[in-house]
Amino acid sequence: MTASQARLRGAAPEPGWGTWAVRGAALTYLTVLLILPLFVIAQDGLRAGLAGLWRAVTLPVAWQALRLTLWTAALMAILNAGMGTLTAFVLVRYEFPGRDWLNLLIDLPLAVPTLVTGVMLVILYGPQGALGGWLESTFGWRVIFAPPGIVLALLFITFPFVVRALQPVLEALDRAQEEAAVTLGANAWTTFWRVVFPPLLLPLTTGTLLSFARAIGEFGSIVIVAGNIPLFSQTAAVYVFGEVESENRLGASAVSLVMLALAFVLVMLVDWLQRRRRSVSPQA
Amino acid sequence: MSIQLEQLTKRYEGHPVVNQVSLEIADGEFFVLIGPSGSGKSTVLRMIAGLTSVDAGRIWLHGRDVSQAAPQARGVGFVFQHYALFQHMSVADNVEFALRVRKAAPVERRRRRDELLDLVGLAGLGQRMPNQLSGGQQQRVALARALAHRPSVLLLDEPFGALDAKIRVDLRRALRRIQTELGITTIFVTHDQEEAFELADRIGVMNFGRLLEVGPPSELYQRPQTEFVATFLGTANLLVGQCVAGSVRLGPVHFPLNTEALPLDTPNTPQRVQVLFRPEDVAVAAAPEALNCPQLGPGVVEQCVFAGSSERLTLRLPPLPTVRPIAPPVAFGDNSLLVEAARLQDQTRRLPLQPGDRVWVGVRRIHALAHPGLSFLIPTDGSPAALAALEVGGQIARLAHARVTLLGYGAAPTVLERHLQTAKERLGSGLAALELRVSAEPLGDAIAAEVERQPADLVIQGFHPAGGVALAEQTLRGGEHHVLLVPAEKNPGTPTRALVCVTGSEPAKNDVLFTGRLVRHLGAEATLLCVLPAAPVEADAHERAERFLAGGVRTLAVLGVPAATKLQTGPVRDVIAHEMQAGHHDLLVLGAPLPERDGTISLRGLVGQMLTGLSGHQALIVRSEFLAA
Amino acid sequence: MRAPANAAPVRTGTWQRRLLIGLVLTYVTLLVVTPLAALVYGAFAEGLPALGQALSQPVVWAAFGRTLIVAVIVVGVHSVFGTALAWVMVRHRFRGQRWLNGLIDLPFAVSAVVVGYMLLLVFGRNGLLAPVLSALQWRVAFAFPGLVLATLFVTLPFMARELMPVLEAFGPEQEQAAATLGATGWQTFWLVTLPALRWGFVYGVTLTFARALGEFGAVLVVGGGIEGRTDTATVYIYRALEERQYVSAYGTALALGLLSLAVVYASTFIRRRYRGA
Repeated sequence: MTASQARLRGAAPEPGWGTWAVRGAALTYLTVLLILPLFVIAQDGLRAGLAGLWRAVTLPVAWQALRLTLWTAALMAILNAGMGTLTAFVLVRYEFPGRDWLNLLIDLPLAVPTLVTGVMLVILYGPQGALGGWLESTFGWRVIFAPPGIVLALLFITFPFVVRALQPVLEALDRAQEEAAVTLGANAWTTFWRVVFPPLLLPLTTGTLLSFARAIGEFGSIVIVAGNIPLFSQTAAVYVFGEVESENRLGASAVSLVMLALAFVLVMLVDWLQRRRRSVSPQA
Repeated sequence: MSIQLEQLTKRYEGHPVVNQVSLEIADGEFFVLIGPSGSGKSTVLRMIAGLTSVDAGRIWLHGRDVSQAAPQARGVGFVFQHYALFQHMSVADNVEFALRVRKAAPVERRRRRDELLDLVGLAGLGQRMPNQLSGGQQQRVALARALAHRPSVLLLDEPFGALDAKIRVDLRRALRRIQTELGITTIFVTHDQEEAFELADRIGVMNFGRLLEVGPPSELYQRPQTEFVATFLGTANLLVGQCVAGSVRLGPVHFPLNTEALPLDTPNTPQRVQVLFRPEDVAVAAAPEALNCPQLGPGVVEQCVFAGSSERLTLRLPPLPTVRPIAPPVAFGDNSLLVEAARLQDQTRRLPLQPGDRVWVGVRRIHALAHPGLSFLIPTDGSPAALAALEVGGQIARLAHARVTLLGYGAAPTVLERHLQTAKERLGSGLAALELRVSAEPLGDAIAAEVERQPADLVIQGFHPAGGVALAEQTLRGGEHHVLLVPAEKNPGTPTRALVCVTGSEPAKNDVLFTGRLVRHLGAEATLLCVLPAAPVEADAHERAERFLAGGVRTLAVLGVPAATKLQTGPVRDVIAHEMQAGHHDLLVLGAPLPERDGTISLRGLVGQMLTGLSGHQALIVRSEFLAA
Repeated sequence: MRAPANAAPVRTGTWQRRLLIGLVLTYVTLLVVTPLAALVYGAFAEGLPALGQALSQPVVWAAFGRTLIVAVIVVGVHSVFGTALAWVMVRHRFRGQRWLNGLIDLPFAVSAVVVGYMLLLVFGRNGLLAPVLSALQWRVAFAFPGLVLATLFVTLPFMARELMPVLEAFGPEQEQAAATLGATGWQTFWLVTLPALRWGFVYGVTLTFARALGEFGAVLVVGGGIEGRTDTATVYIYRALEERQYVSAYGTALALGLLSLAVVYASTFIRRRYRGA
């Protein structure tokens, strides 16, 4: 059912005191937990005015941290979109031994604490690690304490996002549309791009944007994997942490505010896209 | 020939959903495939389009064998039930799709698209999105889309099933007009007989994966060859009567026989036939003199339904001796004969009727079908248990005029041939029809394969307390038949006193009915036993059970089976065992447990316990059709 | 019998299918399975006794205990308020709702470090509420309540987001049907709505719990990671790594990961089983 339908049918016409109590409690909860802290940090970050904020953000260390955060997250998002689509497609459309296990594995990154993810990657790819040592000695590739480690950690953490966004849509797709395309003479490739893919575009976009947003703020795994070398492998979240530890309030607030704004824009964008999707396809 | 199907077969999980369907459709013909849901008609259509692979058999389109061809290469147009329009494309893009993938020039695409939208009556709506159209309009777009690449064959899979009545009629007319205009060979799948009659040049009726009959609508309506087609197409009054020397008898009423096609083996001895007459063949008058056709007798108007141009009547007549109604079915617990009649407006005006009015009922014309009778399947592997089953089976089959298939299983053909010869001797002569089959498979698989070829009503098999329950389970698993278990140790002869154990539930009605159909031929009597737990769960359980038992007795009376009832409380198993002994019963009738989710039937519960406790009695396990219906 | 809905209509070549399946399986193995195996290997690298010794330290137990208490409190709070929130967002209409709807997802995207920092700004020594808190003699920052608050913030979306689609799909029809049958508001809620929400609720609880177990950044910033006071399991792992006590770090990480996995998979299995796939 669409949101607009729900609105039309609506709830009880005249909210009683119970309704108001529930509504009040829910909104108070949201305010104390969410809106108050947001308000405070906005105020704190803008204490020195927009110019002060700009200066704090464009400090070389802060600026590099933000750039590193953005490009690693973007690279991860692109890889994840491709592999996530493929995984969802294989999971929904093909029967093969181990499919149930694969399906369970998708949720694993959601269940494992990200800090533990970092630990795993360090053990595997670290200089003392089996794979890491080999990669470094053979190819001269450095994974841990370098940007590749960051991308790898982000890929692990956000793997479920795209898969789980696409899976239900793929399952709900009307197979008859593909059959129609086939009887009209389209080959498998054309059928996929012309018929299957277009409805997936929107959920793929929202899933990818969400994983991007999540990646920008990731801390637990990065702080372990990246090594936090300023100007080389220090991300924005780790930078903020350092500034908080060293009680540099302006630096912390400024970069926090930038990250917060990014998160806010992304979340609102996703929300808007999802609403649009619901209004476009009423049966979804 | 435009379309030719040869022995087309498709299985899902071992079950045939399409079973050896052969069909030829001429150029430009409008062919309608009709059947209840699950009859396999859509699967046939999908196989022709290449959307479902073919397990066996062949498909020719215009003389080309396309059985293994990819759907893209078959050049058919397919219209789906739920339109299957590409939701993200405009109407125009949908229609142009087939030309686009064929890389047609844009000018040609546009020209063709406009032509088609014009043809289906949607000119000028090309820029709309599918979800801006009504269901009927969407299906018109789907039709235009399916015609864009000039397919040689048009296939429609219940295309109007999701639409409301008025729009269906409009679309039907539009479709027929377009089909005639283009002269395109068309197969149209539906479960709606009105649609079939209106559209079809010829109709094919399917049920349980088989194509039962093919013919022009009027032919199938007036002269069906099978019970299923008679009752599925249109409303039918179908009764079992007798045929003797050129005339048909329904109890005391005689009809001249006007069907030559009736295949009678022995023209001079009375033979059972099914007698069909349609509601419009029924004449209703205030007095017997006013009927100028054979009379069924006086009746009471049960129901009057106004149906626009006509009026539908349900008439209740007293039972006719030796006549068993098939359709309309007798209501459980009722022994009268129901007849459906239809009258036109002018007749209604001449003799207005209301429920409760007494009238005389006559029949203007009848059509007789050969009565298929019961068919038995008797498996044998040469063991003593199997031999006991043969003797009883043969006796029952002779009494019931049943067709018998003898199935040797579980050994090499040469060994089985020998078994079958002895078995045939044991079975004795005088059977209506006897067929011998062999299979090297074990019991369950052998039966499954055999009933797939030729369904049976009843499987009669030997029963040994050790392992017998498991065998019975396998037999039930094989198909839709009931099972009669004959104990191995001695030959008990045909049953004379049946104990029918019933619960007061819907499936139990079926137990009573089938028992009646079987034991009426044996001259046996029946006792209906209902066992309630010592402390009934519901207060009125007693009363309901009594009502059910009384209904059962009336139903058995229609079938000519004298019956008594017993209502007892206590532990079910003990009460039944005691009653078997005390009442000198020699046949125990139990309802089969409802199937599990995977379709198998488990006898591990009460039924299995009762079976292992059998001491030399026969047991009939009746399959419930309640869930299948 | 109808054709199974997922029977492949298009005969894609088997080699294409094999290639795609192989690609996905390889990717998942390299990305997810190998690191997990590495963790198990790392924890047991110095033998079982060393691992046992590392895990039996009182510090580890205390940290785990703190994590569990925080998680349980958080789950309790969200069970009540998260359900109320979902209910209000789906069934009520008020101004600013669209913004709120977006805001619910914000904790999901905001960096945990930023969350911790925000809470410090509100509840810290020089924070917005500092005068109130000191008057009441409450310590939030660098104390246990801070841990709870931080975890509450980061787990905010899970309960509501699990319940909202269930509530939406459930629609008001059944509730209206109950009303026409004479049920009061409470009866409708208890007999009709709540049972329908059951599995969404279980899943919401599970995700909240798992996330609470694994929260690190916010807890580290707000709590300061004071040994014996505000160190949770994750904070302990971090410190152990800093101090190069690899066996304790890896062992604790493995234990925490397994606990979290067990919770999530248990609920998956229960849900699958009772839904009768």
